[in-house]
Amino acid sequence: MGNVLSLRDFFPVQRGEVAEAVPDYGDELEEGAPMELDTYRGVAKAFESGSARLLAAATAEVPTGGPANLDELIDGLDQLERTAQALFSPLLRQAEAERAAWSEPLIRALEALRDCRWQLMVLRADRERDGEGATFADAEQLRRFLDGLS
Amino acid sequence: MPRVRWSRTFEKSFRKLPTAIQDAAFRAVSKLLEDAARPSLNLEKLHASEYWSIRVNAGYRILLRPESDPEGDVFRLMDIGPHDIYRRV
Repeated sequence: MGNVLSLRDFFPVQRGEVAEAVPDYGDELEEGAPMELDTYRGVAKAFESGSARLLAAATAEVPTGGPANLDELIDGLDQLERTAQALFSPLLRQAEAERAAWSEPLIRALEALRDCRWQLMVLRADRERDGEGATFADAEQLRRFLDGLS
Repeated sequence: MPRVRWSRTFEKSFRKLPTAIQDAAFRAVSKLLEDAARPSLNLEKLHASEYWSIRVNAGYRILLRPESDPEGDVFRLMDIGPHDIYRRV
């Protein structure tokens, strides 16, 4: 089993900082964009760059079995995505109502968090290479199996 | 016709889900057994990966790995989780 990775090492926004790196959207806000977008763009960049760094670090652990705390990382990323959704949703709703493109960095950040989590789910799935597992040829067999699970 | 195979990883995630999502997952897998090409399943290959996924509902997808055994093709259900869509096409 590989090393334990901490989300805190990849998402400086959690420590009250904002990461640089990733696409530079420029200093100027688009005409019509709300002023608070300036702050949220920085947070979005931190989420996007953090996702990329976390995925690279987790992939580097694969030869030794992947990060030891994959379950925790996946759950943590899910929570972080929900937090980002809540943070960005007023602006996303406004941009959608205005059919404006200035919300692109926020959308990219949410997608980066989601896609990073799914890539970690793939790493977790790769650990289960063996084992037969129950096999179903039709929905009725599956239903009976599920009824037996609970 | 492809079959589906349960995995421990899938079961772990499945058990944590609300009943309504579990039911939606059952319906999605039932459709997969009938016809994997059904448009509502939105069967997609993950970029640069051997894994595929299908849509459960607007906010969840199932992660699949195609396998084969002497009896034919099998989709192994590997995981299930939130997959929100943020971009309007």
